[in-house]
This record gives sequence, C-alpha cells and structure tokens, in this order.
Amino acid sequence: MGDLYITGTAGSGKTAIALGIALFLQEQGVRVGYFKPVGTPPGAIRAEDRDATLMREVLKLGAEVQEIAPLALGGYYISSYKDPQRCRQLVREAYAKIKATAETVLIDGAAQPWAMATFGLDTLSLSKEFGSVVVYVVRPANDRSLDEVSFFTRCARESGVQFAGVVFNNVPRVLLAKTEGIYREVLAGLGIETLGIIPSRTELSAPTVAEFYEALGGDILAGEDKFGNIVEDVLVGAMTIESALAYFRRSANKAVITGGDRAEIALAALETDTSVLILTGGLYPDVKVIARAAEKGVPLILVYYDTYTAIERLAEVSRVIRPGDMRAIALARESVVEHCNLEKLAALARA
Amino acid sequence: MQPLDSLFRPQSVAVIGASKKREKLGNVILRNVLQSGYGGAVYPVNPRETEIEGLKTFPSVSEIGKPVELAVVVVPAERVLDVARDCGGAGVEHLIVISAGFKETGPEGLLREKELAELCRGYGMRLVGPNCVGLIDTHTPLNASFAAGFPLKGEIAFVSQSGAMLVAILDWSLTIGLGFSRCISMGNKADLDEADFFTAAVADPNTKVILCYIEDVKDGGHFLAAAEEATRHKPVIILKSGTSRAGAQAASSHTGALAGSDVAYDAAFKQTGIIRVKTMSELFDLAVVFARQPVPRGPRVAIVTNSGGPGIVATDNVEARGLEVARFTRETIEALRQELPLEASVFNPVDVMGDARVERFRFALDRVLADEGVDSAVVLLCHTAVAEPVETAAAIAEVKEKYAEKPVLAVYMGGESLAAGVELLAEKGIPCFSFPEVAVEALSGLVAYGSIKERPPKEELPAYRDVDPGVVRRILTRVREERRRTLLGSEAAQVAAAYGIPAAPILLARRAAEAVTFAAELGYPVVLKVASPEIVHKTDIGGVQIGLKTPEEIREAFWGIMERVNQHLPRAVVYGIEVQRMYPKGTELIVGMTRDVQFGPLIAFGLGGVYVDLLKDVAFRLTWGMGEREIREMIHETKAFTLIRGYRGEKPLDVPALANIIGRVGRLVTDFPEIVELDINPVFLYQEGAAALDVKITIE
Repeated sequence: MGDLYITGTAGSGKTAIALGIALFLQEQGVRVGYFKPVGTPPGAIRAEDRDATLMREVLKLGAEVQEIAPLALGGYYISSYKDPQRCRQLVREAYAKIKATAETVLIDGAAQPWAMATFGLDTLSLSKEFGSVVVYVVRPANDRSLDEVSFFTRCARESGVQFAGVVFNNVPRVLLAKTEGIYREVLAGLGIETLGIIPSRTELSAPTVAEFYEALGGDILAGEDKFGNIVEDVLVGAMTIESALAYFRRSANKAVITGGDRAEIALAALETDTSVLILTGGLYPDVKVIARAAEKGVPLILVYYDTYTAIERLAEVSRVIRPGDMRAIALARESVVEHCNLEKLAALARA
Repeated sequence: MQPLDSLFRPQSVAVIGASKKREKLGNVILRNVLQSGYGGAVYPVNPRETEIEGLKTFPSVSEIGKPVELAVVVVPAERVLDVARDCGGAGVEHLIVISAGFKETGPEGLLREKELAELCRGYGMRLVGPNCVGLIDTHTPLNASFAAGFPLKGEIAFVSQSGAMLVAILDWSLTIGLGFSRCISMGNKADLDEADFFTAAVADPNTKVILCYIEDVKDGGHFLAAAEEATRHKPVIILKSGTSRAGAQAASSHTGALAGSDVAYDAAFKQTGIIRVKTMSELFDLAVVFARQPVPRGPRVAIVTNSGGPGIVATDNVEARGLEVARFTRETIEALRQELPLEASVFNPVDVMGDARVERFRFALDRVLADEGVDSAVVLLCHTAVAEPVETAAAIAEVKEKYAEKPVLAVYMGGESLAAGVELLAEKGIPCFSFPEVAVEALSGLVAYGSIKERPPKEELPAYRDVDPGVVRRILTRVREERRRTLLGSEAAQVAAAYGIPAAPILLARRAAEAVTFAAELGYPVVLKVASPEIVHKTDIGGVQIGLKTPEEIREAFWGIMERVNQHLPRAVVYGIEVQRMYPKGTELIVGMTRDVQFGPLIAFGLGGVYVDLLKDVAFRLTWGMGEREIREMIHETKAFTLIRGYRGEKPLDVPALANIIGRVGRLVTDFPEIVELDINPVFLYQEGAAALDVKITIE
C-alpha cells in the first residue's frame, strides 16, 4: 500500500486532517501508521512532539513517540544535529519500523514543506524517497493563498514527486463560496485537483487557554478548570474605562491582556465574554479581581513580563488537539468525512 | 408596620461575640447599645463568659430562650455562618454582621458572603453588612455600632457605604451640633442596600432628609424604583464617588464591581429626582438647609446685605445656579426707599449700608419676605464697626418665624467677632455660611427639590404598534449562528427599519457586478463601504468611497476598497461591500445606546459630525421612564437643539421625527436585551423627516 504525505504550512491543520483520515481508514479495517519525520521542538512546558503523542494515543499505535517523531526542528538544528547523514539514517530507520507494522502510513509534514531541506529532509525529498503521495493542505486567506498551492505543485511535479491534490482547510465562512466557485476552477485549470473544502469550525481551529498558557507560562490565579475555553481573539486593555466596555463587547471568546494594576479594565473584561484574562507586569491584582474571575469561571493568568512581550509570545499559538479532547477528535474526523473526497484519498493510500 | 421596623426599633438585641475586654469591638458595641439609652432587652452572647458589663451572658442565641429581634455579630469571619445559622434557628429577624473577612478579601471570602446571604434568605432574616460599622437610630434610641459617641437627635438619615466616613462625620457633627435620625453603615451590602434604606427612611417619621454616600449601586433596577418613590416624599442627596478616571479605578478596586459609567449614574439620579452633590461639604451644607428650612415655592431669591461686594457675588451666584434674582413690587420698593437711607440700594440686592444696625436688617428682611414675588431670602452680614451680629441673628430668626413657607439663609462673613451670632443662628435653626456662594448653592438644592417633589408621574417608554420583532429576531439569530458580535451595516439597517427607524437601506454585494445591480436598484449616486465585523473605522483604511455615479466607477471602487483593506488589515474577514444610496446632507446628529452594567440601556443624543468629540454636546437618559416628555427634555438640553429649532433665520427641523428615532431606539433595545451597543452616526435631520445613515449594533 502507498503512503499519504500531508504537507502545508504551520497552522494549516495538517494534523487534524491526518487524524481524520487515519480514523476513517481504521474504521475501514486498514492498519494505519503515523509518522512525523520532522517534529516540533519541545517547549517550556511540554517535552515531546504533541502531534506524535496525540496520534499514538488516539490511534493506539505501538511505536514510541521518539520513533514516531525522530527529529525536532529547532532554530539551531544544524548546529545541534551536525550530521545530515545520521539524521537521514535515523528517519529512514524509524520509517521502516513503522512501515513494517502498518498497511499504510500517514506522514505528517513539518511546520513548512521546506523545513530541514538543508539536510535533505524536506517534504519533496522525503516523499520521493518513501514513494508517498503528497496532499497539500492550505488555509485560504485571499487570492495569494493559491500561489502557495500552485508553486508547491509545480515544484513537486518537477521533482518527480507524486502529487494528489489540495485540501482547503479551515475555510472562513465568507470565503466558502469563492473557494467552491472560483479557486477550485482556477486550480483545475492548472491541473490541480481539489480533494476537499473544509469549512472553518471554531471549536476545532481556535486555540484554547491551555495553548495560551503553554506559550505564556506564569501563575494561574483562577479558573484552572476552564483551560479548555477556546480563544478566538486577543485584545489589549489599554483604553480608558469609558471605552473599555464597548470595545470588549465587540468580541467573543477573547483573551484580554492588561496590566495587573488595571482593576477596572479587568472587571470590564470579566463583564463581557472573555475566555482568559492575562495580567502582565507581574503586578498581583486586587483580590476582588481574582474573586470576580473565580465567580465568572474565567482563567486568570499573571505573567511577569510586559504586555508587548505577552503578545509576541502569543503570535505563534495555534490549536493543538489533545489526546483526551474527544470532542475535537470527533470533529476532526467529521470534518474530513463530510468535506473531503475520501474515496480518492483512501484509494491513494491503498494503491 | 414600617419596613425594617424591627431593625431600627427592635424589642431585643443580642450582641454575639460580646467581650469583657474593653478595647475589643465586642465590648465597645455592647457598651454602645447600653449607653445609647436603649430600652429593650440586651443579651450578650459568648460561650466562654457568664457575665459581661453586668449582664447575664449566653453561650448562644438559641440558648437565650426569649425572642431576639436584632443580632449584632462580631465574631471572626469563619464563625459567622454558624452564628447566623443559630440566629436563624432561634427566629432572629435582623442580623448586623460587623465582622470583616468576606467579599473584600478574595474568592474564599466571596463564597462565604454568598453563603451567608443565602442562609439569611433561607431563614427570612434581613442582613446588614458584612464588614460594616453597624447602625444607629437616635429616636429609638439605639447605637448598634462601634462608632465612638452617640450623635444628637435630628432629622437627617445618613446611609453610607463607607464605615470610616460615617464614623468621622458623626464625630464632626457633635462639634457643630448637627443631629441625625439614623445612621447606617452598609458594608458589603450582601443583602440590604441603599434602596432598602431609602424606603425605610421615607417611612420613618423622624427623618426629614436622606443623605447617602455610595461608591456603587448594588442593584440598578431596585435602586431606580426605590429612589423614584422616595424622592416624591423626602429629599435624597447623594455623594457618589469614583467620578474621575483614577477615582473609578479606586472604586472598582474597593467594591470589586465594575462601576457603571458615571453618566449613567448621573442620568439615574436625575431621572429619579435625586440631588447629586460632588463634595462632602456640599452634602452636609444641603443636609443642614433641608433639615432646618422649608422647600420654597419657586426660584426667586431676595438678597439683603450690609455691603455691596458680597451682595454682588451672591447675585452672580443666584443667576449662575439657575435661580432668579427676585424683582420686587412697586410697594416693596417704595417702602424700602422710605425707610432706608437715601444712598441705600432698594432694588435686589437690597443694600442696607455698612452703618446698618439690627433694625435696618429687620425691616428690610421683613419687607422683602412679605413681597409676593419673593420665594426665599439670603441675609449677608459683613463685620463692620456698628454691625450687631447677635441682635441681627435674633432678628432674622424672628422675622423668619412669620414666613413659614419661605426659607431664609444667613451669610456671616468674618471671624471670631461673629462667632456668637453664628452660634445663635444655629440655635434658632437658621443655616449660616461663611461665604455667599456656598449659601446660594445650598439654596439652589432646596429650590431644585421643590420641582422634583412636584414632578409629573414617571413615564413609560412609548409603545409602537408598527414594529416587527420577527425580522430583528431572525437577523440576530443568524448573527449569533455565525458567531459574530457585531452586525453588518446591511443587517443593522434592516433591524432599525423593522422598528420604524428611517434607516437608509444598505445592500451587501459580494462581487462588483452585484454592487452595480444594487446601485441600479437603489439609485445613483451611491456610496460603497467595506463590510467586515472587525473593521470599526472604515474611512481610516480607505474602506469607504462616496459619490459613485456610474457602473464603471462602482467596479473600480469595489476592488480598490478590497485591495486597500487587504493591505491595511490582511487578516480581517471581509464579507463584501455595502452599497447605499447617497442622501442629501442634513443636520448631523448622533443617537446611541450603551447598556450600562447597573442601570440598563442608556440613550445618548447629541450633535454629530467631525466636532463631536470636541463639543461633547450630548444628553443622556436611561430608557427607564424615558417617555415623550423625557425625550423632549433630552433634546432641549443640548446645544444641537438651538440648531434644530432654526438657527439665525433657518427653518426649524423636524423635531418629532428626531424624537421618534430616539423613542424607537429605546423600544428596540428594550425588546432585545441582547443588544448591548447601538450607534446611529450620523442621523441626518431635515425640515421634513430624518434618515439614519449608519447604524452599528453589537450584541451579546
């Protein structure tokens, strides 16, 4: 059987799609493996590749996390791994081991298709080596998103890689009609098949407070049981009290970042639909703010750096599906089953 | 029975946590109860003592074996719940919890406070506090507080959210001889709050005027209803702190609640007839005047002075405060002229001259008060060589006696030499001030209350038969389904139109061709605006293009806007482009609504256009009681009204059309409480009709 190589840029939702396909194939009685040659480096709080951990648990895979994701793409990976040869060997061995027990392997791409190209471990090099079929996942924002797809396809074809098509994932409601009507047609004109158009589901795409906390660290002052709250927007509370309420009201499920000494801003945020309140500057807030947050069931996180730094740290936060999050796992499966050409994908995997 | 009667006039009082140690609050309170001359039964409760201050002491309230109407609790916070349970079981009617360690200390304390309130509700016990100083009724008499000293008997009820302020004021009142009927420290207001105490004070025959210091209102609706009723019977004067930005921040930290906006408080006070003061001295100046002088029939003030300068200062202030300088009848003027020296001024202000002794003051005051055109008088005395401060004080009081319905205030300007006169005035119940402006300010409060008391009954928001709530409901449901909080311009216009607000129609185009079709439908020229819930200031990013006259211009503008928006805000979700017909320019006005956390919908009306932030010409009303009359008054309050009614030869504009918009906005946001913000900016008002050009709506 052939393998599917799911690639795309960071935050496009590769893992959710791989998960959905894997669950579908398992239901069909296919023995599915999961492999992520280039994983993400451990953060301050988590130690192992999150996607590998998730897939291992959900798909009940025998392999160790270290085998599922043998390498990590750090900012200093060339210096720390040093030997490209050995890295390639490591990946090859790990892949062989997973392939040995599976009928088909879903290979999950790194943060970008070109990641570790310097070591010859990018999507194109590896899919060629494994003989896998590439599926490109893109989260469309505007017309420029098509360039990403067209360019990658051309590279893949010229490298002699098998390219199956593109999945539009997490498509905003306002872009659905355009994707269906125009983008699909434009790509078809270039000989690129659209394998799925998955509408955005906030419950699946928006990060939760847990991801925010992983990125921020700090002290949890209230609402630890509400870390599953999704965060759709980040607002900074630096306005006057008169304008705060109207400003906060315009946004749902939001994170509000403000100074620990701005009690009235914090209280205004708590009066509206707030998923998490992040207090900066290490200024321990008034106890009444904590009491109000506890009363409203809103997580309250105190960080020891300034507001700007907090925002910087949040820039890269994206949703992670956690092993215990049955609702998100079911949603991932549902999204793929309902909106992707699964017969085609399954046929490719079985080819 | 009067509300809260057994709280202020209980047959029996238990002090739980009574102590033998004289420095402990548990002892201070017990002694205060005893020393106040309280006539009912007093039971100290303390399981470790058998006798305190000569009284038999009980281990618990339930073991007293006799009914207890009021229990004052001063045990550590952790034990308060047990004590309250015991009291509830023993049938106690009222609980005053002095103990701190509740909401003010954090989440754990908040939980405890909620439990305490819940527990009291379960037993049908009413609760004062926790975290308070207690309460005093000088007529019962009962001092169930830990305030030092017992105030003089008087007719002022003082309700305070700050215990410290209450204690300080009581101490100060003794030095100036000011008396109180009741003093209440509300503490955290877990159960009883200002509204309850207003209602109780109205029913209290010993209270003539209600003073209140608050940082926030606990329950907006309850407050409005109680205040509206109370001010029809007795004056209510409030000092509400936290008006400045820093003050609001401090108040939020202090109370743990988001302060409603100060304009909302202002509107609430105004609409319920509460007199709001900004300083503590004003609070008590007004209290003294209200307690000792009648409410005048009208605003016409006579001034009698022995010196020109202060007389003019007083006159200026009379006008500045919205009062009238009385115009005397010919008879009054003639009489004054005959009796006073030639060089004296016999018009208002009456200048009896620097060499005036008591007789000139007596004559002039008597004469002006007799005048039908005079509602009140201010007597100014400057310390001159021949002035007779004490004799004049006696004369003022004497003359005042003859005119029961006309208030008289004195201003004694000077120092030590006038002290005896000032004292006599205080004794005779004539409020005396050191400076004219303070006296006039206090008098203006008195005058204001005259019209407050006589105001017409509260109105209701107008009802409109032609509204279509179904349309609004459908749109709001769709917005919620799309997980949006703000309506698109096209949706907001539809919502407004469904409620009879003359909103200019807006159509949402997703493609340029669609925009051209819509333009043909609506009529040229048109304006195109980017439609995105995330973009509030569309003009700033090139998201608006006006005056488009041809399909070509529309096509070009359509993609031009899309590209500019994408440049500025690449991540914004754009729904398309809104198409609207251009309207002829009218007078630009704003109608808005924000849902206040305490008082509900607060409607704003004012002048629009580019100078809106500069001119700040806005009037506010709560929709509570906002009927036709309030709407009219609101419009009249603004400078915009000068324009609307026809400025410099212009024809007047359609005021009923404007009032209609305001009323319908009020109705819309009342029928749909999920609308938390609404702005119509601008409203174009014409000589006939009006148009709401841009409607913004935020839902919850």
